[in-house]
Amino acid sequence: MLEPDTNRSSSPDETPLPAEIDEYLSRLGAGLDLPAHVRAEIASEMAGHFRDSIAAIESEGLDPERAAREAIARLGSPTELAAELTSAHRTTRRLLSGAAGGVFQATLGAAGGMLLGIAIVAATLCEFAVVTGTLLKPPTEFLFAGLPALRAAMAGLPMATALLAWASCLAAFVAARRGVAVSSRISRRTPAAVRRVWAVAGFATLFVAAVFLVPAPQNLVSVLSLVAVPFVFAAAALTDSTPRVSLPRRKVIAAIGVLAILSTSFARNVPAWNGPLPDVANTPQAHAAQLREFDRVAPAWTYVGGHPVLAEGGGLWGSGVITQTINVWTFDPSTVDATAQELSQFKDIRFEAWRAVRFDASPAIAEWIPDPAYSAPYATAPADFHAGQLDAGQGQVEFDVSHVRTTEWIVFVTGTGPDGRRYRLNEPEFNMGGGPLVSSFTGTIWQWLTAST
Amino acid sequence: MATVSASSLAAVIAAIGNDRLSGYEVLVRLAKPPAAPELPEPALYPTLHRLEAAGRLRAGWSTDRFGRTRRLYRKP
Repeated sequence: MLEPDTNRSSSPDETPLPAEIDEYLSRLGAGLDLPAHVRAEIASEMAGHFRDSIAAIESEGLDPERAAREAIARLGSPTELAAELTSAHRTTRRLLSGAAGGVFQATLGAAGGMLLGIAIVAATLCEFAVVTGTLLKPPTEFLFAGLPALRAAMAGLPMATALLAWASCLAAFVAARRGVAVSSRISRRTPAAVRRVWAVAGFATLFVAAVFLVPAPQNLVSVLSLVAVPFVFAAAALTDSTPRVSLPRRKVIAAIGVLAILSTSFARNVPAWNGPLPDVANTPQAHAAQLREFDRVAPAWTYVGGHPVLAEGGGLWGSGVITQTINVWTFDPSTVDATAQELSQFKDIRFEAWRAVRFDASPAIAEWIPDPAYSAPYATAPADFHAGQLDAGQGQVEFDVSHVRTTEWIVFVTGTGPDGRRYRLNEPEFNMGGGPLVSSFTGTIWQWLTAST
Repeated sequence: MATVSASSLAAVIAAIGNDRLSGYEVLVRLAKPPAAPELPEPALYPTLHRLEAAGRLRAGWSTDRFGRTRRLYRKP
């Protein structure tokens, strides 16, 4: 049904149109494959034409009824006129303008949606921090305000990727809606006609970008979150307008504002609650069990003064690099020479990066051991303790593990002893908080999918 | 799709001249000599809309003193 533009055709000084004309306009509207606002304009224009035409024919002496029929006859078939008008509006120039305008508006929409998405994610994290920092903690710990609880929620770089992907989902939703609306209006194609184009083009572009082009710290959650973005875009492009929810706007905005202020205030001052601290204290039994697992790498060399020849001096880890410092044991200054003597017997001393897995020595004690699924290290690097580094009492290694899905590592030092066998020279104690070295995969989704574990 | 000759398009633009005319007024002018090329009435509005889409005409709404609202065409 062709609905005249009510802003232009309802002038009180204009007479109502005869029923035949209304019928003609209805059939014309049914044949117009154009957006609603263009159809309304055409309806108003054609209504004006009929009024002028009928008035002119009546002035020639015909009665109103015959004048209406004559005016219709002169304008011809409504179906053919509709087809001609549709064709006249659908020019290549408008199509290209619609595409460009749609992409531009979609980009603006994506930027706005991204900002909104980040704000929502940040607010959600603040709420999470407040809940975990208040409801799940003993009240006495309020006295020891410390690190922002946000750190607990943001643990791990792949989680940051996932959070940005969730914000991107909102950006994709807004972009698709704006792109469809604007390109439809400018190109004079109906929303139904441009939806599929937007859905397919947007899905393909975003899918290729997410899977093959954008490198980021990844894990399973971040991969699934990123892959959701093109699907959200396609769904938003294909579905009809968003249902409107009627809310008292001022009250909602005021409530969000108060909540945000309270949340930020609490989140800044309430320490994170990460659950019960892992008990990594070594009982003799657990330690013995762990050492037996370490012996799978290589048997331990005889200790000097009750200690391994080498000891960890600290570990660092970033998104895709693990760094381990090894100290020559200096517990007792008198043993340094002895340690040096021990080391001098070894050849081919090297760092070995092994994949680590959690080893539950007992229900309450968790340790990390070399992954039993692997019989060789992921990577090795020479450790030249004989040329200078021994004098400094320290050696350091850096492994790039950014393209391996494994995220937990143990670094051992081994060397070939006087009997020609390879021995383990250190006893990893997991510095920096009692856990393994932690890395995260950095790359595209495709690289993550095809990477080794 | 009906084809409209280049001379018809030129005649429509010439008929409008420097005025602002509704579609019906263009039709009346085309019916008077020396205009009047072959432009059947059913082809009038598609032609006007094509010229507008091509940027050769501009269109806008106007209400006259009798309260009649019409879409008027003019040269850019």
